[in-house]
Amino acid sequence: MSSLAWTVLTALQVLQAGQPSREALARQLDSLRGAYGRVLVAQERALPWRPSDTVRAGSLVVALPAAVHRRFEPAVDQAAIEWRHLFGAGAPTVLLSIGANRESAQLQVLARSAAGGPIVGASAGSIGPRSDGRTVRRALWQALGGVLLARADSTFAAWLPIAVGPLPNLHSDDELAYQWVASAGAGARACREGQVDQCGAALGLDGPVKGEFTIEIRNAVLAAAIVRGGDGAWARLEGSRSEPLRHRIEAVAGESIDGLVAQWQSALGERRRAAGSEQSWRMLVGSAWGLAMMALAVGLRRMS
Amino acid sequence: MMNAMIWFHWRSCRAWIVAAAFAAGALPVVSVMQSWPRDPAQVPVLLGQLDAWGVFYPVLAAALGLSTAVIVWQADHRGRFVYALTLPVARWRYVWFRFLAAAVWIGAVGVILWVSAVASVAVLSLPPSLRTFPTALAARFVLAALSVFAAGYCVTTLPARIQRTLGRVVLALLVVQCGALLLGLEADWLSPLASGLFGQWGPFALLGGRWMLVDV
Repeated sequence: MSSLAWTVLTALQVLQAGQPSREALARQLDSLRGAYGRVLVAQERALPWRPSDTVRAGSLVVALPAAVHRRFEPAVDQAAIEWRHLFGAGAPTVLLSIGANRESAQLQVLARSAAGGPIVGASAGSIGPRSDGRTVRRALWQALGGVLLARADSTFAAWLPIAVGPLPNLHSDDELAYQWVASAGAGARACREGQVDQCGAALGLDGPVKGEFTIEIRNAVLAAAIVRGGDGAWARLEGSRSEPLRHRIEAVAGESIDGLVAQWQSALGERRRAAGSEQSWRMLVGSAWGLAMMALAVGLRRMS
Repeated sequence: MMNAMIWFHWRSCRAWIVAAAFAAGALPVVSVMQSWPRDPAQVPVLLGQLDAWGVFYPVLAAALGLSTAVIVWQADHRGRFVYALTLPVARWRYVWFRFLAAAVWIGAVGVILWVSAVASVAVLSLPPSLRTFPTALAARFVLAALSVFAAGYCVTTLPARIQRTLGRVVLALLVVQCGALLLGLEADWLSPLASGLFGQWGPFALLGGRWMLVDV
């Protein structure tokens, strides 16, 4: 649905005779956002299984159907801790509503402003009522990531225009490894090969030049910066709007971009090597079971 | 004696062995039979596709192991064990030879997979950041098929009465689980059972995880 809205916006831009003014585009964008918000509300009202219970955890207030209350509560508690970790003591209150469609067994998370209206781009779907905690947490963070993006300044939003939570493990290590090698530029290659002073530029942190690394890699590096930066990391990002992006991410992490990327890359490699040794372990365990069962089969026949 | 058992197994199961060999030979070829572009931006998409194809390796290994376990005694049952009883070997040694003969043919299918995988990646022009794993893949395939075969062999070696009881227990579990799902109950005991069997410590641990012929 959001892609439809953006397509309409682009089409409007193309159809405009001459260059539309910034104000006209802003008005069109507001109008489309308003229309999309109304669609989201209508969609939620159409859900047969609507929020009836409320879970309050820290700054998160989540309205959800009673049937999924117990299943979602641990994920909400965890998300509340992470949300507070991002902002420190002054974490803003966020309202989330979760509606469920019993027929299609899909749940929809929608973030709302303090006034109760939906925050466009801060929604997530495709959670089954039997989804595990990780899937629920991912959906909550998709919605919360949209809230963060809605609060972000235009420079940051242009650098990372996706509404995903700035927390680790939202993309698998394999996905990240694929994305890491997918960037073809000379800067990205140099960064990958250990010239860490090239990483900032390849990430698009040094000025208006578009970065070479993909959005997923930027998101992962930001997530690593938040984890390293500790309490109030996002608050520091929001509080340094006037500074260059590189300094802002360094303020989040509390260390240089070069060091941050080097550590992130090494941790990713370490985790994938650990997964590789798990495969070797699986081979050993599987072979041991095979031998044990063979011995059992021979023993059974011997006894019979 | 061992040679005789190997050829006896071939005669009784050759259709299955040929089918499995054909599938194992085709899988690496088909999975990489896509144009690998020079543009590294396309690499995640292609690796994602290869990851999806990787599902078929454990499926094929399980099918090979299971079918071998099911048919390994068929010839003996058909001949009412007359051939086995005429051989000058103890029953337990006969069971052992039977197992080894089937394992040899599973290994042969693994060798075909390995040759096919090596040939498939040899003709690819891959970006320098990617590596190929034909030997690890084939070794894992053989071990996975053998572990499923060993489990199936163990079950098929059990007396018929115990086999029937086991089958009924499994069927009852499935029926009760399906009933619970239809009634919207929270009960889910198949998932813990599956994680026990296919998890890191389970007998089918080898079937789990990712099966990648080409990876970062």
